[in-house]
Amino acid sequence: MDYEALVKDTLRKFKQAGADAEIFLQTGDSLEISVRDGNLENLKQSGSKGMGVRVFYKKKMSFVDSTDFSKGAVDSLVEKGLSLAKMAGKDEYNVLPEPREVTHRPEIYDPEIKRIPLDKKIELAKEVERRALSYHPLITKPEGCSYSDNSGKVIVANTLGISESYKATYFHVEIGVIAEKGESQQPGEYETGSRFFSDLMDIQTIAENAGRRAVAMVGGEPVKSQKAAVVFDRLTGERLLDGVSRALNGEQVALERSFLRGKIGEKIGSDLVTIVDDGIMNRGNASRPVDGEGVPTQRRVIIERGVLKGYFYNARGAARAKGKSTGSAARWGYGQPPGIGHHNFYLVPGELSSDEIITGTKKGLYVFQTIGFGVDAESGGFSVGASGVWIVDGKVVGPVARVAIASHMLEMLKGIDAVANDLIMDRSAACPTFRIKEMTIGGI
Amino acid sequence: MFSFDFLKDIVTRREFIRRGASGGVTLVVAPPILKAILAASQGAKEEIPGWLSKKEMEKLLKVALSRGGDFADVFLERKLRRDINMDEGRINTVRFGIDQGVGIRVIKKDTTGYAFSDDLSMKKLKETARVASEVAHSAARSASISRSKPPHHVFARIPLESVAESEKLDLLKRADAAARGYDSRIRNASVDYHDETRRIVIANSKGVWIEDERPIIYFTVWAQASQNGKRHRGRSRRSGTKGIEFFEGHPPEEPALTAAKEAIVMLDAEEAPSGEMPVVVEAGWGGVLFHEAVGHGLEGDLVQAKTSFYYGKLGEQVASEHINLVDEGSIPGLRGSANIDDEGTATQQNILIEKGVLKGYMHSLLTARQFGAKPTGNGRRESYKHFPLVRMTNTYIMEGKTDPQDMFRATKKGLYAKAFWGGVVDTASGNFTFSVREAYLIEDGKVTRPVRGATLVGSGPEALRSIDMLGNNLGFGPGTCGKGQWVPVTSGQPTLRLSKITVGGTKSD
Repeated sequence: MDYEALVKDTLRKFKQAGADAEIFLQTGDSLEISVRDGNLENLKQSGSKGMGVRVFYKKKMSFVDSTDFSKGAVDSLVEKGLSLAKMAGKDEYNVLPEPREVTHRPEIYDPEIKRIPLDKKIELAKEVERRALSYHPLITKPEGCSYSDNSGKVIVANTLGISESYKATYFHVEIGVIAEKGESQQPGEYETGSRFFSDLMDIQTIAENAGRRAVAMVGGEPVKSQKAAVVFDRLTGERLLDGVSRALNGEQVALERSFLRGKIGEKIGSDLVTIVDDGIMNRGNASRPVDGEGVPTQRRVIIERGVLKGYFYNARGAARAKGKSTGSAARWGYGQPPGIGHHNFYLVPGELSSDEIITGTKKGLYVFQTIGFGVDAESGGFSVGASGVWIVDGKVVGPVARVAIASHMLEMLKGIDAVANDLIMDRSAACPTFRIKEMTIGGI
Repeated sequence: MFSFDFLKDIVTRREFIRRGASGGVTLVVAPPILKAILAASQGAKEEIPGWLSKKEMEKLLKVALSRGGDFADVFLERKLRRDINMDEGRINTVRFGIDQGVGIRVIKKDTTGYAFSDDLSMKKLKETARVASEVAHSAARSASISRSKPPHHVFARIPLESVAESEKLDLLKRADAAARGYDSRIRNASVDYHDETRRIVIANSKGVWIEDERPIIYFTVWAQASQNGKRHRGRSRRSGTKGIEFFEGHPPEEPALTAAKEAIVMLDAEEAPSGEMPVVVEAGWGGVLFHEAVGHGLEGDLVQAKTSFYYGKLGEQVASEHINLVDEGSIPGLRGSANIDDEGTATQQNILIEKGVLKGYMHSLLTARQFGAKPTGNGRRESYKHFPLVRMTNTYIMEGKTDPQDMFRATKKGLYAKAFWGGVVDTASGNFTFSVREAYLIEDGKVTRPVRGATLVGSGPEALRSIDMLGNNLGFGPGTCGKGQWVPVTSGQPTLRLSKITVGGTKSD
């Protein structure tokens, strides 16, 4: 089926009816393999497609979507979209972006995906599991290991003249193993992803990343409630980044639902805090030539040595803020209207090694696992469950579990007093190991 | 790790069900689809228009079993979804979507092969069945199916498709007006309306051929209060597996007022305390604590993998003798209910813990076979794009005898957790966290000041053992549970007290 022609033809129907519209069409093939204890557990393969349509009629908007591309289904989608748009409320911020020139087209499609045999992928998952299980004698059982990949195509086009498309691939490996000591069972988990098969983290490192966490944390008990330093490792620091990225949502800022509202140009973090959002990083996991509305993506420094430089906007958010889209329209599949989100989003690494951060910590918690949502982008409140190890005078003295770490996001950003050099961009939001001078630790 | 997303004056039926005749826009969908969706309410027909025939399904099962395999099933789904959002006093987005497709599964020993297609041509479906069959390597088999009728406790009296969208808009406008009218400090309200009708057909190699229809409504109201630079957003949700008659028992004003009250009260909230203390958890959605802390550990697949804390503990005392934990997918109208699960097994009441003793696990067809147990109606899936996992439905702790007021009176210093975001559990270690949205201090036997930002942290088995007072007021709350796939559930419990649990607030003294 010629999807480009379908999109063009459908947009023309809306125009004829006096409406504007945007189509986001997605097709893809995906594969998921999971193994457990050396045996294949699940093998899931599929191809799917779908399109989501935003319809604008006199500043009123509707959204319709379907997986059925037959003529009858598309005609009824057009009709339904128009009738629903007429029912919605008038909103001056209901706008579509105008076309802009796309200057960067990052490499995000690996043609090798078609040539890698299934058996090789199953073996990869089995080998990661085998190595993680043999990492340490305390590791007694698997939690499962999975390999998945997908390749797909996106077309995004609107009646104002945007017409973009791109192909992308993604490879992902996830592993969990359990360490046991007495009555205590502790999982250690790691996941890693890449746009190119050859960029996947090597098998041994994936295995060690999971095994090391399980062994370090097993047998953890709560410490006394107190204030102390908290070191976040590469994985758990993502929690803070996630809170920051949600607070950067320009529309939420305008609605006064962000702790970062009104803080442009203000120093909100320590000098060590520089945070970048990069949509054009070559081979980046979250790189794309255009965002979910067809606006070119870009590389932006969002927080520079502690100073907040800007927010994330899609077309609607930009209209509300009387600004310009920053290419930050996010799509969560074809079945959802665009929202606002980050691309490759990271805390710029510092110069210390993670070991140097630990040896330089007098007393505190080194966090390997956080549990819970606990991050409120509206108020900036931060409170999550944590497990890890306790540090006294620069040395790890034992495992800790079932404590809560709490603070305010602004205090945390200002309290960052050490940043390590161990950033790995194997996910869309990533950070190196870093330390926060002081947080409230809730224990016994 | 599993998690919850975080994301009621009686009205007569006539008041809000004015069909298309009222000048509102009626549903516009492709007529065959509408016919297919509405067919269910008109009684069982031999074959539904646009769906697969008996012969076609048998053919697909035959292809699925062409390389052997112990079991195969075909799952057809067609879902109509509608979403309406109101924010800042106006209808923001009106959405409509159709999902349809077929998922085909083949099981060989403990290995599952799965493939799905949104293209319903037999050519594409046979290819899908062939891909699913790739996990098996033995002699071909075939299957014949015969049709059976599901139970009928979940149904729409007034089908969601038969109500004009303009009538649904009125429900949002009423909620918006009620929230804003509650107090001048309520600066904004937003309302999310979601409804869907999901029709499924299941056929399997054991001869099962069964269909079901599931209506569901999810209604969420947010109320934002602000005063002197302080702000809070309150939230309240209602959900049920019913047609539009749902709102007869749950008028939209009700969640609006609950959300508005929370927003106003919490304006004056202080920082939550930190450390170990007794916590009184409000009836209803508070049951999410036990959904997370205990329920997931009783799902047969996690027990089979030996990663659950509750592996090998059947017959053991795992809670005080007052505790009875139940999962029951057959309660009419609740969000987690259905007539059959997504493998065709009738839903039922499953007593998981009786008088503190672990009685049983929840099972899908696969885990039931692995355990030599009976399926319990817990094989659920998010959509045709997913193979079934063992999932909870409506999970609750049965009520006790204590007046909740006595729990406060018995508590010198503690926390009263009234409304929650949700929780997360690590089923292997049993560690969980639970985020509280609305909470109060209990001081000298009285509920006193509101506090914000509390997180409860603990171990599931310990939390279950630490329940020392059980209220006489069972309630339920709706949510959506994530385990790689999202499914609608409810959690329930009476008001109860945990004698001791870690509270992680930002205040330390």
